[in-house]
Amino acid sequence: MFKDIPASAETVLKRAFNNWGIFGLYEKMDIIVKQPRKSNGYSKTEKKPLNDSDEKKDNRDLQVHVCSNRVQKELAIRLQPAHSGIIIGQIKDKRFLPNLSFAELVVRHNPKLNYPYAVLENKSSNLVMYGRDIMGSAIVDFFNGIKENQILIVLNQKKEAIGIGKSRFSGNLITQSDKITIDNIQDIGTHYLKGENRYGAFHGD
Amino acid sequence: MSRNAEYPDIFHNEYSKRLAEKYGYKDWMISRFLRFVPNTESLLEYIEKNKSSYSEYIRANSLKMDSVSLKKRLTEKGYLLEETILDEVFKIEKANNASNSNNDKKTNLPTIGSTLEYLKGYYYIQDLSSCIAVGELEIDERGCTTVLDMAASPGGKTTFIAQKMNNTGNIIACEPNPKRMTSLLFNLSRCGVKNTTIFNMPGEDVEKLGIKFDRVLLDAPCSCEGIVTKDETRKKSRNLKDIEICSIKQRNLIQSAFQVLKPCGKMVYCTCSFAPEENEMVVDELMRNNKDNDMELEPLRYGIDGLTEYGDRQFSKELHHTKRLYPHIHHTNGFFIAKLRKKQSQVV
Repeated sequence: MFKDIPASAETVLKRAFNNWGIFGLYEKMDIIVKQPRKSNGYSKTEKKPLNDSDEKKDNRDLQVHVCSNRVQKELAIRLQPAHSGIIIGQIKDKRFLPNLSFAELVVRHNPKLNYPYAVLENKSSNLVMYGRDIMGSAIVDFFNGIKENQILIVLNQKKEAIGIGKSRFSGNLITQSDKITIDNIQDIGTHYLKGENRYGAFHGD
Repeated sequence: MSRNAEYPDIFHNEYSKRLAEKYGYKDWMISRFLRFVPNTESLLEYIEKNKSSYSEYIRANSLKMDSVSLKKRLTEKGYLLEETILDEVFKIEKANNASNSNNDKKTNLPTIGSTLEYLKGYYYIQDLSSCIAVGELEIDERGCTTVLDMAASPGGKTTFIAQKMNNTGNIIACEPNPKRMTSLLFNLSRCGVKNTTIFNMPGEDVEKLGIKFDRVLLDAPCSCEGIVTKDETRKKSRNLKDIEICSIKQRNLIQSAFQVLKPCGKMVYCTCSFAPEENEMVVDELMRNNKDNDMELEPLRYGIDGLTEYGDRQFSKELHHTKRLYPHIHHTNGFFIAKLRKKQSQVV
């Protein structure tokens, strides 16, 4: 179900935009959230009465969508389509989990690179694009303030987002050779190709 | 000339039999092609010659990268890009045959659907004919605020519309098949499209949304005869019943599409089929049933004029404004395009 972003989720999201150095962009965006459908033991016709605590529970897992404009946002809330806008991540248990579309926003709007990132050499970039974790020796540049277990954006040498990773080490330790130092959380190969067209591949497209 | 045993309404002769046998088609298909495909044998020969190396086109996605930069980048990688009649669209030369090339740089080229640039959404692999159809919608980002894509998956035309609108305004995309939604979402996400709202519903039900549109694209589900170069199974996998089923569906869809068009709005109807039953007949019937007389066909720029008669059926003379694209003439999929405009209602 699409709805306006609840206040608690908005705080989480604003903090995330701030942390990734694109806070100014938040106010310019038309954002809605979608609650994943889940079975609550009630039939479709029988509605469970809602109370405040239920609503808070519902807000624990939200998909974040960016619409193009206010009209589109209102349309989604009014007509409840299957999908609207572009998904930039998920808010789960008061944390924002960015996806590659969010990473692209960050890269485009924060050219100074003051966010957690790692730049990879070419050969490793190709491997990471299809699911490999990242060896320290593959990293040619990185964000100095990187911490252990931190979510970061994986870039190729052209400074294009090719994945999202999680650091196993902090600071310079991230470049240790012969060790996996960044876990691959999401990469453009698996992220996109898992949904690539398997139906009507040729149908006049 | 004798009647076809399977379909008594279709006449065949020794020539059609010989062609069907030689090129591996069902006899009734060839008998029909001979009635409306110019130089049918050339078409069959072209399909045979190009079945493993058909023309492949890519469209630069200006939401992420302009066509000049894309061309430069792919050329540096070793792909040969040839310009086409549309600025955003390039023909990929020899990409499929790269492994046969003597040029070392080309031997290790990944397929055009597995490059970083593809995954980043810098381009979309899309036939020129499809791009022409979207081009005919005449979308400009200031004038068109609401556009309907009635049968959207896998999203090639939807992403091109979004590109034409520069990600502003609103696209409503209908897709009835939940299984095909995955590919639609994948392509919209890859291409950075955010102005699209997707409804998992048949296009025929679009009136229920209560929205009127400046532009409507109806790329109707069809028998797909026109993509036989890419999918050889089409030579034998379809029968006349399939064409009839598609035709009924298309008539319903086009009717619904016209209902939701705003006055002065424009609609493009297209299929990747050669069959007149799926093309001219569908448009002709819509025009005949239009009692308000508030519709006109607009001329198109590319292709061969549509049919104004087929067998003993005479269509509206306006149908010469529709266009047909043929693989052996235009180096595209077989395609049909019609552009309709809803006239401003006259207040007395």
